[in-house]
Amino acid sequence: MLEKVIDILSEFTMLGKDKMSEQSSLVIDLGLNSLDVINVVVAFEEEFNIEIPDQKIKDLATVGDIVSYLKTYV
Amino acid sequence: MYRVYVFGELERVSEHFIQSALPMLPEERRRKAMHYRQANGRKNCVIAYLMLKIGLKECFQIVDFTLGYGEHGKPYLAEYPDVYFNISHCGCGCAVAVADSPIGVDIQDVRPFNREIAERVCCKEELELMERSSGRDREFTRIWAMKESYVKMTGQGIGCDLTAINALNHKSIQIRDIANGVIALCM
Repeated sequence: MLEKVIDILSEFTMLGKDKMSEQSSLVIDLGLNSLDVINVVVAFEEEFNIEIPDQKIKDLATVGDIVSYLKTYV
Repeated sequence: MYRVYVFGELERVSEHFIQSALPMLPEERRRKAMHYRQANGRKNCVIAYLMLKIGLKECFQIVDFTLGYGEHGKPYLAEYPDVYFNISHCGCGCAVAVADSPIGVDIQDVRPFNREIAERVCCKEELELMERSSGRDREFTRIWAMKESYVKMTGQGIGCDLTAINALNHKSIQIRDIANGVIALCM
């Protein structure tokens, strides 16, 4: 799952895949802003055919948070 | 009363300048700045803090302050509950607003219009405006920035139903075009 998440995130950041880990912050490490985060959320929704509720978005602060969310709901 | 500070020339800021400015930042902000992997993130983090210092001094004669963080991560001045500020970063620079009432600011570089994203965050009236627009990329960016300035002013952040907010109806939101982006301000 981590590899798949990193693959998708790599389309939204200039940070190399080899530099990303579960601990990487979407804002500080990947350099994403709020609009990027919405783009990322929509990409994961499409890829995994799920709907991520608006209230959950603020909990997705790191790569690991996304992995955990997907492990729970996919 | 409010004032907005904008910096959009990140390419003119050297790493040397950033390193020499770091001692002016409190420990927590310095650590945050050094954590940024990308140079522009680091530059925005340092310059925004310096602009905040300037703004608080110019407008409120505040020199020493401590940042606290609200429920959704919105920063505030721990010792000055009646003074408000907000900070925004993007690829084209950073903006800081200081005010004597709650304020939200968003600086955003122009992004390509994407219908799916627009439908996720925009209400019917906003979508109709974009449909009619000959410059959808900038129109979408403007609406996004207006919405974000609103949720930053309220402190709720983007973790809410953004389609329930009609940015076009909020007279308290100002929007301004800059070279490669937009700046929105909500009071």
